[in-house]
Amino acid sequence: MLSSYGPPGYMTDFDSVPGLLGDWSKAVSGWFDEAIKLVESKPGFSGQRCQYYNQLKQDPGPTLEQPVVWNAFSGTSLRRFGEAQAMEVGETVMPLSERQDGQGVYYTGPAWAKLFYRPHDEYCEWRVDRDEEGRIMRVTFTSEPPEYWQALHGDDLPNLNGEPTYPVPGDPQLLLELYREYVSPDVELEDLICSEDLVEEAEQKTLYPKGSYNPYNRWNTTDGLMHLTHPANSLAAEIELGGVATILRERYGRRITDPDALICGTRYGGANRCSDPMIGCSVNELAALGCWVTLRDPVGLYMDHLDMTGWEKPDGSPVEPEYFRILRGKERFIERAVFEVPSSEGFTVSDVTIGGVPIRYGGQLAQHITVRLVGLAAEPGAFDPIPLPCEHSALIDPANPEYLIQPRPERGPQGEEITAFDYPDVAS
Amino acid sequence: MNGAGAPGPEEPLLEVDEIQGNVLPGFMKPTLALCALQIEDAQLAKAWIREIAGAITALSETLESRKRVRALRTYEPLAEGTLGAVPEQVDDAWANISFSCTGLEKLLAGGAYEGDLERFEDPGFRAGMAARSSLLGDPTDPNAEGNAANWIVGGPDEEIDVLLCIGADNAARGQQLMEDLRGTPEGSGMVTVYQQEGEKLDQIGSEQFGFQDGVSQPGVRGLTAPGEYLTPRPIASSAIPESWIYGLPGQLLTWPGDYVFGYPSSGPDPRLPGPLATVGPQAPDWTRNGSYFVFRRFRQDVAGFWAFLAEQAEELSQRQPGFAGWDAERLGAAVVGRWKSGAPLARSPEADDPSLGTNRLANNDFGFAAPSVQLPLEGGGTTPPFPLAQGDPIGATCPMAAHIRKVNARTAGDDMGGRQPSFQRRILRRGLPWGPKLENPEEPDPAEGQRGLLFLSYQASIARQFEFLSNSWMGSDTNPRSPSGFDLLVGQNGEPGQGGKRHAILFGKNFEVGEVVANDIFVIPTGGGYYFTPSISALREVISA
Repeated sequence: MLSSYGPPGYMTDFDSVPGLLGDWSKAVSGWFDEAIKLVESKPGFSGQRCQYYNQLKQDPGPTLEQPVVWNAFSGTSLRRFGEAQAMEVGETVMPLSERQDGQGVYYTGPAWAKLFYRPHDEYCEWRVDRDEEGRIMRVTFTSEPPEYWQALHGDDLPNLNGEPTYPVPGDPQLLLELYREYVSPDVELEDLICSEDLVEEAEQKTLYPKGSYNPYNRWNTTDGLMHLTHPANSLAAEIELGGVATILRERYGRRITDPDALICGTRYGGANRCSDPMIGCSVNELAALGCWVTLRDPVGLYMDHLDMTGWEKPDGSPVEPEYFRILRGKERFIERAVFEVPSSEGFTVSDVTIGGVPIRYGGQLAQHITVRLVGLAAEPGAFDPIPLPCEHSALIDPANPEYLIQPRPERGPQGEEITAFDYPDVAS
Repeated sequence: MNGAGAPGPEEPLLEVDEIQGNVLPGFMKPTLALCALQIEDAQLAKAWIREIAGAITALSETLESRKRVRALRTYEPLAEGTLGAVPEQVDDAWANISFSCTGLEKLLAGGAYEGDLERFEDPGFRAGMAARSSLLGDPTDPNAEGNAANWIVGGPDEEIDVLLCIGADNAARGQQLMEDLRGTPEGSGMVTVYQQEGEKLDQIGSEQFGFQDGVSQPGVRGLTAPGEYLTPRPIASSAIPESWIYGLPGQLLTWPGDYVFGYPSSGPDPRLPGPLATVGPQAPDWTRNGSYFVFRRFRQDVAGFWAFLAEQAEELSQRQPGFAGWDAERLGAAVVGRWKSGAPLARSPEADDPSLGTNRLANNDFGFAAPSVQLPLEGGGTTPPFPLAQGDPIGATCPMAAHIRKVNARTAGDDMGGRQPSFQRRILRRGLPWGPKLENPEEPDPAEGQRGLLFLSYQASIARQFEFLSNSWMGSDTNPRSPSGFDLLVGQNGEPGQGGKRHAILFGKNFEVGEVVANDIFVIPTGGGYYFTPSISALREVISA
């Protein structure tokens, strides 16, 4: 039996804060328990046992690791805007009052229009630093979850509904030092905290109380990058997705195995992303084998590697692998990394080509980053799960037939859209 | 039917007299001849193209012959080892023609269509294969055989302008057609810089390593006449949704725009049409019914491949009990995902089964995500009762690194999202082996290693399909699914600083994890190029105008 959940990426910042490692583990354990309860509360699930498990409370025996991998460049932007525009969108930040994936908002209320996130919804975000001539000097990537930074500040960590729930001791000074080390020496602690309650007004829910850490602070959005900002990019969301995806689904009497049909029928994530359909179907396939399923400790989202095949210097020779440096985390568990050409080389990132095409956007690099989490499966055949009916459906707009629309209640009138996957699934 | 929705919109009517016949339905002939040309005088070249345009074979002509073949043979082998045998009554010789970006530049220069190439967006087509060689993972060491500078054809600054492709039942007839088309070389304004013939090595269409090739060609949707599908649909219409989704059992249907411009491509729902395929947002009208064509000349180190398999299998079987009894053939099947006969590991995990490998109603009927089922067929009966595939999400039966799983995740998800990206990256393969078959890799080789594959493929995007498959899946140690490693058959490791070393993760009995490592590549690129294969009318009215 696992004795505690460690911090993501084997990072060591928590070591110097008394009690933080233990309380972090309690929070992760709590998220698993919440996800399990969520599964058990699904309509029609009663009578079945949840296959998702908390490693602090359950030990089903030897496990098999399954890394689940996906591309870092936003599938949502790619399919919604096309590649050229998606590259441009990837260079910007968007207000939280504007969704990346269509009409509507992430949070309601005027405060959110002044707070920003990066439209990078694959659990990997980046920031491009340019010189005065617009040449790219470096591209910095992060896969660090916001909860880690809330913990460093000592805030109550949110539950799966985003409500402050799990108390942890923090060290705001350490938080500040890390920001100064990785983002800017100009950062002040007051820049990082909420000057007012940040309230989701539609639900009258305070997500970030006054005085707590503000994940959308300017040094992590408009003026720098420290950790993930996209509302979908949280550790709790990953744990929830892993749990809900253990439920098998059926339509017209046939189990759904198509990853796209599955995510549309369950809405456990964004259907147009690279990540969520892949995570969901991978978990679901293991659940179908009757396995216990969970996420490997340390639970986190990681950059696996940057593939530099075909990347060339101005003289046509291959780039040096050292241009890509891991700053936080470790090999295959990369939490923060930078791609930068040493000044001694006499050229910049903009002079590097990929297949002969000069780098103009950070997204070109992201297209070559593989992100991953690691699933664990144990005891195949331990369960004989019964599929539940789908709870949702998705639409396809003939004007952009590559893009799946997952209708939300607030969505306006429908057009010429067609219901997708409205038939039984193929058997394999 | 259980209340399921309608089968979906009608499929598009293909312009059968416009699309060149090797694009759709594909020549699929036992012999192949390629002739690479460089333009020296564009006006003479255009006159030559106008002259031969009438001899370029369209989809309609190819399909008529294909229908005769279909009528003369069944999906199941008449006798073991006879798959692919073309009836003697069929004797065709066909020609197609394609142009590189440099070739089109020369031919369109000074004419009404001169600026149109700017509207071709594909970076692969625009730059050419040699310029993109390192992106494919090819060796960057200038001394390596596979480095583009050492290619036999299509190397840097030696880009082919025009590629003629002949397919024939009879090699002599194919050669005659080639000679007829070339006519008087000096009169055509072009010089021949490379010629090569390829042919089927045996009755089942094995490639040089000895594995049946081309088993899982994608099915292509579309009508060739009202009510007539391009791709036969032998599954009973009562089987929903399989009869909507498959051509042959397991042959997932993709939309024609994945290969031919001017038609819808695959979208999220395989039943519904996706975006219209074009060469770019401002695509010239004349690119409709055209396709991108990839030629890649590979030399195959057959002796080296089998020596590698024998050595690694022996080490693995001695080192790890879960791999006891593994030999070169068993490891080879894991590397390919099929046994030599074509029988998929997914349906025959322990040993080869030639009757399965040559049965087209069964040899492609499997998935990786969930168990397969037996299907009813039109006219009665069911798919053959070979053991069905089981769900294999971690690659315990068919490794994630297996070639067939690298290039085609089928209905399973992949790193680019759900199932949709896998469908959008399919290619139509049209290649054949070159050089003599090496009967015994352990004996002296009279051909001194000179054999390989003339790889040919059609697709609507070179960057997103051919190059992506090479670079991002075959040449990745993690993608499209993990735990994986590289495609040891064709994939290359082009990562700077890694010396081309490749590994693959395998599972033995009781989920025991094993790893094999290859320091060399066995499929070595020795030439190639990227081309546009225009419609018949574009050939007449634009390219030769």
